[in-house]
Amino acid sequence: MTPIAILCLSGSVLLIGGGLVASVVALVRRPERADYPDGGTDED
Amino acid sequence: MARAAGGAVGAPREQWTGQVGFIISAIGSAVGLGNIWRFPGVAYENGGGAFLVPYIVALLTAGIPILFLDYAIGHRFRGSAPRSFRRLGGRPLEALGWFQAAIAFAISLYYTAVIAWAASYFVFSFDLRWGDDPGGFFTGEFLQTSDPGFSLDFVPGVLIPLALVWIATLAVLAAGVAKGLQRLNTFALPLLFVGFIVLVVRALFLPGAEVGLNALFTPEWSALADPAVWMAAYSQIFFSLSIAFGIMVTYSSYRARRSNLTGPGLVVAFANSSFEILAGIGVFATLGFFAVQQGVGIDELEGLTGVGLSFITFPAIVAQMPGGPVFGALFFGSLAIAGFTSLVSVLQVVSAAVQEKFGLTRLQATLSIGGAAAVLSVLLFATTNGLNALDVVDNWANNVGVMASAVLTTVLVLWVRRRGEELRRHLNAVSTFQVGRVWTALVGAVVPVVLGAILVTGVVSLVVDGYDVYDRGFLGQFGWGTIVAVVLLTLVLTALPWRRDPDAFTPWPTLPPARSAQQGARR
Repeated sequence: MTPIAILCLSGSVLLIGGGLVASVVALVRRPERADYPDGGTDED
Repeated sequence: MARAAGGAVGAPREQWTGQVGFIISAIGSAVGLGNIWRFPGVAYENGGGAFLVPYIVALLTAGIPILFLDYAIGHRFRGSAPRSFRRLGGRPLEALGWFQAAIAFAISLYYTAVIAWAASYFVFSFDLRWGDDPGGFFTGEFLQTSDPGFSLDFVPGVLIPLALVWIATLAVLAAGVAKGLQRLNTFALPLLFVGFIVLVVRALFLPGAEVGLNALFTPEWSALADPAVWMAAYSQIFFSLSIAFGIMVTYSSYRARRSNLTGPGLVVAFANSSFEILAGIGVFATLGFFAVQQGVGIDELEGLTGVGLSFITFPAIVAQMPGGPVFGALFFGSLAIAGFTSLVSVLQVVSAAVQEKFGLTRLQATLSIGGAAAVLSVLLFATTNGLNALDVVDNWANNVGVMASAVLTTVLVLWVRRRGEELRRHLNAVSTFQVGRVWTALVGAVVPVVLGAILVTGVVSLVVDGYDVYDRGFLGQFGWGTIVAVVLLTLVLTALPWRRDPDAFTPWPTLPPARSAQQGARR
């Protein structure tokens, strides 16, 4: 592969894949809020 | 008294079993045929590596913001698209919800046919049944394609797998949200990812793979100055994420009220785009192999997107490849699974809508709506006119129907009803990832302007230039006819009475200027 193609491939994997990893890590660390507003425990 | 989405009086609303179940199901919905057969070709034809710039910009400025908008509407107003929009803005917006459900219904009719084709080709892969003429086999022996025009000449080789796909779809829908949709995705999504990764790794070791990857990822920076490239990026992101036609409104309504929305939304959006990048690598590594085998450049190959890529180009490649039957089975198996997990989400939009409007049980809705859809699907797409009809209906349903739905949603919700701030505060009240006023600006300004431009350009092109080789009469019947049918369905379904008052509802949490749906309905 040419260097510029490798750069674009790596960049896309890092940006998109990095976004996925970062969002998963953030969600694992804090899956839910600790301070929901009052109510919301019933269902319609 | 509560009536569940399942329709049983007194039963609670159906729910995902938890956050992971919702995320897996939402990814299963987003990752569909377009990820595999559309993204790679669109990226290649719109600047290659440079396309990633507008693609990522579109993801951040339109894809994720509209995804959050859908989540907020469905979660806050606790219903299918018609009921959620009714509660948000009264009867005029209920019509928007029915417009979305009607588009979903239209899309399900032909989406099922493509899955049936993919399932058939999965079987054909094992003996490479298309021989040395995949194009002739596909349009001739398999589809028996006739000249464009309504036909009642059924093709048994399509009819039987199509009927089987409908039976499987209705079985999943009848089983419900947790035991049907979520259970299917929990099984199918890992299978899809493992199968597709095996395919991509195999493709990377094919001779000539680097030729394909160079073609896909070498940037043509001048493309960034072309507005058409930016429009292609926004269209790709938009169609890929299953947004703006009721799916994510419906899916988020099945989350418990105390549920994180934006955090899982980011996971879904980036997972969907990651799969697209993976598909781009796999598809173009394979095309590179084929180009080298043929002694031509990638730019000389035909059929780099859609039906042509999947059912003509890929079979031709598989026929020349060592271990081709296994590769073909992996490809068509992936296509069928990705399509099926999206299809059930599309039909859930319709099923949930009629359950709520007419007080039907889940089984009643599945049998009535699914039965009607199955009959129409067979009549339109299991005949010798199936390929022509699918090509045209798909183009109009997406480029006119879904695009109009997105523009109308942002204009009516943000500009006319002015509920953007309320929805933003709803997202922040329940979510871990907070959205600022920039989100309101994106969904209220950037999205309607950009998607509105794409919609107008597309409609003008269809009116002035027509579409492909089809004559005006055929485009009128199957293209504009689809839009007319969607609008008529919208008007009729909006006018019919609700079995149970949808406006007897108070949004949670209470957020000024939250207004009850009764107030909205009175306006």
